[in-house]
Amino acid sequence: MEIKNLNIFGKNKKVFIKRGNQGNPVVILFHGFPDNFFIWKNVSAGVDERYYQLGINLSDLAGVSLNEAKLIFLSLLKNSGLPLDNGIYFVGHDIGGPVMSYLGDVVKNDIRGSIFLNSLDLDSYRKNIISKQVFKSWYAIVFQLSPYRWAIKNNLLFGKQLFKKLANSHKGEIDFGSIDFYKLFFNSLIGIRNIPTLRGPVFYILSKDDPYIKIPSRKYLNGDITVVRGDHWSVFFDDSISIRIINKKLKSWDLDYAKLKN
Amino acid sequence: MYLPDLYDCFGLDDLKKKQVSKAWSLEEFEKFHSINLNKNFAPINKDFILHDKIEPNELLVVSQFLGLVINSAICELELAIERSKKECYLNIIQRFPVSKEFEELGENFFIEEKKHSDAFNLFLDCFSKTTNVTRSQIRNILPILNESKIEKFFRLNGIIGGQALWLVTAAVEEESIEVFKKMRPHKDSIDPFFYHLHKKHFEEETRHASFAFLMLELINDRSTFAIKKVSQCIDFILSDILQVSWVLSELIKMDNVRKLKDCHPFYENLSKVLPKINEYNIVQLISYLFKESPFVSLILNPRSNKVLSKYLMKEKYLSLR
Repeated sequence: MEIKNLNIFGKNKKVFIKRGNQGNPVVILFHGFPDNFFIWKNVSAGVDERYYQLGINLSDLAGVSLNEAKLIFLSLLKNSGLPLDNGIYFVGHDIGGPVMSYLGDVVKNDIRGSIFLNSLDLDSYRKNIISKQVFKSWYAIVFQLSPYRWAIKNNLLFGKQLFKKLANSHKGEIDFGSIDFYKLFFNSLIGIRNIPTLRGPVFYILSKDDPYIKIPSRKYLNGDITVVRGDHWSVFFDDSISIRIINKKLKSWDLDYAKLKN
Repeated sequence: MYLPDLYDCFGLDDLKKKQVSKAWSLEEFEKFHSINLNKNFAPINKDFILHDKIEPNELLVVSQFLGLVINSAICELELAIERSKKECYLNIIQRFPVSKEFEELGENFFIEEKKHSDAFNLFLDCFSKTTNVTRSQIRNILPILNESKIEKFFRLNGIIGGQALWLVTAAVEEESIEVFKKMRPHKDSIDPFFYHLHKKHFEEETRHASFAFLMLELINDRSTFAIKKVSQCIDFILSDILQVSWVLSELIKMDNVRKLKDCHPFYENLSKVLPKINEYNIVQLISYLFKESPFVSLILNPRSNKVLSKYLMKEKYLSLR
């Protein structure tokens, strides 16, 4: 895992990069709330070495308009120096899933598939909204208040201590920078406008005991699903079955793509 | 019984591959063209209620009749599982998806259940042919489930999110494993077709019996609290009562054997036994059927289902057991 500083429109942005074997796709990792790209440490080590990997911090894209966020994302990709023309896979956790849906059209033709880890794409969230999911996403409603978001971002209201109490299975660093995405996310769910959808196949890995996701019925999903044991953050443990599932899925998509190409 | 982890898609995939690689085909039974009517089906010991009151040739036909009853009961229950697939399996995995691997294991389970009922049907066909009666004639003396009230109850229960069918399936799977275990020490005295059929059935049942428990775990994990609690309070008691009452009511059909007594000595000898059974009162007969009757007691006597009993206790189901 190599941390790289990139100059994006005059500002320093950190990304993590892992080099793969020539000719293979890039896996772009989108963390959730309240994490940063370090949450991917174990997953990144377990993902097949053939793939290039790029981890971004969502806080670098938050707090600006969606178009600006897309521009920053595009610049991060270009400046990373990774070979994007071999195809791209998206892997996102928590709010990282909906963010993938927003940013998908930046690289739409290059996306070969998207994996949602304890997360759903925007369309599935919207279809699933009239269900227990509303109660499981209670925090997203609280996050709509601007003063609350400001306080959380500045670690007021004992934000970190409170979070550790509420989510005691969370391990690692806490970074509240991605909280602004919840405003966009909420507007997309209740709005009447069309919401962005991702190109390519979609796959969900959901934990059975995740307190923030209600596992939807198949008619509300846009792709295959695998339910695993554990809770919201257990997919990041180094012995997590999710890492093996990700590798299996990427390999099967590679084969599908090769068949399609031939 | 090996119970894989419902949420380990790799373990489920390995189990399915093992089931497929070791599966047998119906061609296994092509070598059997008739039934040896000088051999037993169900082993009968000296504790048998009529042991000292009937002739050896009558004892032989009773053993064969009990074997036919168990074959027909297993065959009918396995077909009922297949017929209730939409309400009790497809709708559930649609509402509560787990993984592609689990669904593949489920599909294989239904393929094997269908194959088992076909195999039991082959035996019953062969028996009808050997004893000069038609299949519909033999159906009149054996347990039949098709479109009965019990089957409709299972489907309705499945539609409202219940678990009754899977509780009965778990019981039937375990019972059919026990049937072969009881048969094994008497291999030489049992008709080769009957023995081979149960041996092959046993092999696949031991590999896939866990599927009913995986379905129960899935429904319990994902149903709402209220449905889960109601289900745990009534589903097992109801399914137990229905299963037992079905077998008892179907056994009464044995009286129809008199109509076939001119077709073959098997039916003639069996009809001679009926008056001797009638000497016992209903309480004595039911008590005997529940406790000691070869094979049939496995269905009627709940204590035989050890794995299921353990599961029911662990999950705190209400039961009459």
